[in-house]
Amino acid sequence: MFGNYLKMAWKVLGRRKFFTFVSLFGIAFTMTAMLVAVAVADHVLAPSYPETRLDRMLVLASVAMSGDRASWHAGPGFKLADRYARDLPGVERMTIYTGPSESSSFLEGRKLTFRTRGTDAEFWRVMEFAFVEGGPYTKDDDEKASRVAVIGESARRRLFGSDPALGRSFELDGAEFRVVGVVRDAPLYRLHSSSDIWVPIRTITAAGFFDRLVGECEAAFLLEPGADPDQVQAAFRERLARVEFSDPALFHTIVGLPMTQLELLARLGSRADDTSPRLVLALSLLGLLAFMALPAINLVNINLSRIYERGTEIGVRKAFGASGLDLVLQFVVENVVLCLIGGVVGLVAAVVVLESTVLVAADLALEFHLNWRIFGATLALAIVFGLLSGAWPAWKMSRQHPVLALRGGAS
Amino acid sequence: MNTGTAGAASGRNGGAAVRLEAVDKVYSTEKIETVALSHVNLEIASGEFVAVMGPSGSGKSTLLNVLGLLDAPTTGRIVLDGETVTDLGDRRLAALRNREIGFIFQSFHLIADLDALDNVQIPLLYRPLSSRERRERAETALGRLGLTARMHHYPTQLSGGQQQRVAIARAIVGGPRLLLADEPTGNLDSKMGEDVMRILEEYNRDAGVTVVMVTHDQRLAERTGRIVRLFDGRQVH
Repeated sequence: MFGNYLKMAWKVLGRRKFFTFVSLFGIAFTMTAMLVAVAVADHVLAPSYPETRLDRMLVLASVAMSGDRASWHAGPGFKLADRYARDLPGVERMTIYTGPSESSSFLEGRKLTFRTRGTDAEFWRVMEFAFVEGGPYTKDDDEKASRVAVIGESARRRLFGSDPALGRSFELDGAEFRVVGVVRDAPLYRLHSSSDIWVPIRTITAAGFFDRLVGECEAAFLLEPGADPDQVQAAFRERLARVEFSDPALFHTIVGLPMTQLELLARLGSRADDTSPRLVLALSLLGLLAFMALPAINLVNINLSRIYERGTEIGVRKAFGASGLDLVLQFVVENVVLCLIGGVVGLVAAVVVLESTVLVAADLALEFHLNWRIFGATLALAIVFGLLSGAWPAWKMSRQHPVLALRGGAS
Repeated sequence: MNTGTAGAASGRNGGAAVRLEAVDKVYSTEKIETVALSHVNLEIASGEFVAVMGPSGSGKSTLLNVLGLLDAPTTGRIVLDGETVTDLGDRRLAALRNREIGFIFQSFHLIADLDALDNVQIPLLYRPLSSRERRERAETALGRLGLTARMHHYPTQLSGGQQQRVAIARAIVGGPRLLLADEPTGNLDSKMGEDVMRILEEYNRDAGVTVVMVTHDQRLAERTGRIVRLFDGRQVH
């Protein structure tokens, strides 16, 4: 029976070329948009170079400190991460680093700007960079605030042309740094690691940088395999309750949570209080469904118009023994087949869009390529889309009175 | 020929194929009520060939729809092969239509997206048969109607007479015991109409299938075993 539904679907789609074209265009366009979104989300959320263990990482990216008259919302300060976030249960390694900030270098009278991060030595053990020259700076380098640097391949090209960079020096914001390592560039969307240049965090000379509870840092926690993120978050919450404030009259409360990548993205633009990020996540998923619902409603309309067109067929099938369920299955299968074909077209179009983006924005080292997760998402989206847009019209069709349907009308 | 009404069971095989008892059919909208059938009592014996005649709007098609379990009576009872089917649910009625009843329509009602072979297979889709078995049965039915060469033609590639023969093949492929034909020659010229009538007569005679045919054509009606006449939804003598 199912094989026959498929055969029927194929015949109907082949013979109703205009309807098939209009529907496929809408489905493929929607699928392309959704797949590009899925591909970007996949590349931001899934573990990949150099954040290859992102699936067992939590990141403390923002905190909020408040008092009776003031509040301050920013990244964690070095002091908060260094004094209160170390040695949490279930954490294998922890690193403290700054977000990328703009630094300048003068080369033969030309000003070059680079994104620069300050990191501790553990950074290189939490992230998994591929070194093409040398290696990372050490804990000793960091503690002594040695002016050494790891640079990306793009930065090496700009600073030294095609020559090797290991051991060579360059000027950065007025200080001289020696290259100890060169790494393959990290894509821009690797939010916790991407940069042009990395230097020991203790080379930062900004006044009070190491004494702040709130500031410009992030802390990444590599969890032990099998560790429960909820327990790590709970342990950190307890630590925050014991924070000593330098001026309790001004600030006396601080909140913030180490979060998974998904939770972090779901909270973009919202405050870093410690209410459950899962609510924001659920709302985001609802938004995604709503995004899918709009084209689905459009397809529902197209499908409903077929009720009028195929009324006689429904009447004939009912007269010869089709039950309501038989008709629902037939039309849902037809719609899912249509959506799967649209999914394949959409997938091809999405790959073209993504690969073109990679080529056009070569400087950003984007790595938007097709993978099995995106392929799986295509399949799932096509089926969900097919069910979403096919079920209601199919049900409505199946409820038609056979006598009315045989007259070619829809009830 | 025999003109009759209620209880005139004169089939060769004896026993009622279908019986309507005090059937009323009323279509209601917010403002008006239309009585399509009024107190119809009709028994059709197994193997009978019955013609239903009457002016337009007299309730002929409604009677056929009620006999074919496509429409439920407002009041009254339908008995099919000794079983009261008036109150059965959608799935049970669908199964009964599939197994017991074949339909032939004035405007053929072939599905334009399917070729003749697939159209004929439709009743078999809702039975537990392999695709090979379905195909073989449909080929046999089409062969009996002289359409072997047209098996893969779509309805638009067939003449009216050929389309009606495909529709007859579809109606008989499942081996129904009751064949309901709603003006089967109404859209055909006299030669093609004669062809179709002959096929129905042969099928009634050779397979012993009960046939109920709605027609406006007195000549064709007189070739059947009995004429049931309707006027304003009532049986008339």
